[in-house]
Amino acid sequence: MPVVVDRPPVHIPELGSLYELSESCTAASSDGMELLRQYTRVRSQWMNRQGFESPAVQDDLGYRHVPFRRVGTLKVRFLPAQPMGARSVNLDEDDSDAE
Amino acid sequence: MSESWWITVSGSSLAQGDLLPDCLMPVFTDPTPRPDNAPVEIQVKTQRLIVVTQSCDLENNKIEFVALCPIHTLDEFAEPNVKFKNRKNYEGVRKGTHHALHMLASPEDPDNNDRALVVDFGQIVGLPLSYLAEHAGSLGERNRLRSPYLEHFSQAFARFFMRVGLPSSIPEFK
Repeated sequence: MPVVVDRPPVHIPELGSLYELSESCTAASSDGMELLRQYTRVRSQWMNRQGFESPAVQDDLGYRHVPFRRVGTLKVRFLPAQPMGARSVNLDEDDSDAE
Repeated sequence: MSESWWITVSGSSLAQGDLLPDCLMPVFTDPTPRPDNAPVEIQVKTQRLIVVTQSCDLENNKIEFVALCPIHTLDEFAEPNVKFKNRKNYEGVRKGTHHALHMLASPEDPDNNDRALVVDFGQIVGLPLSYLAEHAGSLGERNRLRSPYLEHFSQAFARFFMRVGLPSSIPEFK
């Protein structure tokens, strides 16, 4: 059964795009999953490579976030799911200022 | 004695500026489905949060998810930010010069700046309205930021969120 991995496209010059890879995963099922794992690992190494600098716009918050406290774990199974879809919007109401 | 920045409310009705301790949130670190659809373990974390979604959107159930930001005591915030162990370094936060941080007076002791709280706009959490309403109802009496401190807080969040970074800037005047 094909495995569909729905993630946003991430372009890495050396590796192509994740979108393209997820397409191939869809076709190749478990081989594709292994390929995706390898890709994720390589991508992580690439993002954390030495000398990597973020784009020209510097937006350093200048502080560290307080870590969220871990209280436990959940075990979940992925079920086939539909996209959330757009919410119903009343255009007349949304034209008014919020508060 | 300073007036309180907060009112006490109870029940499941939510509004902007509601302080909600002990919120639970699942954190997906590896959301990749396993080939055999075996169960995947995800972490559950907890945090004290404050609602940033506009009250009118909450009242009319216009949304399914609520935006919230973490809110810390000064000691909690100083734990990973050692320079804030010196209380004097909070003066910039109090004056509003750190765009990602916003200081609120303590609900219990507004005159004691040592017990003030710091909101971190740099981390925005989205949780289901239905979960938060039930959680809020289970808390009993809880704190809600009141006007005009609420609008001041809301404006600070908007100012943080709407900021624009430029790729280059005009050289500094010296």
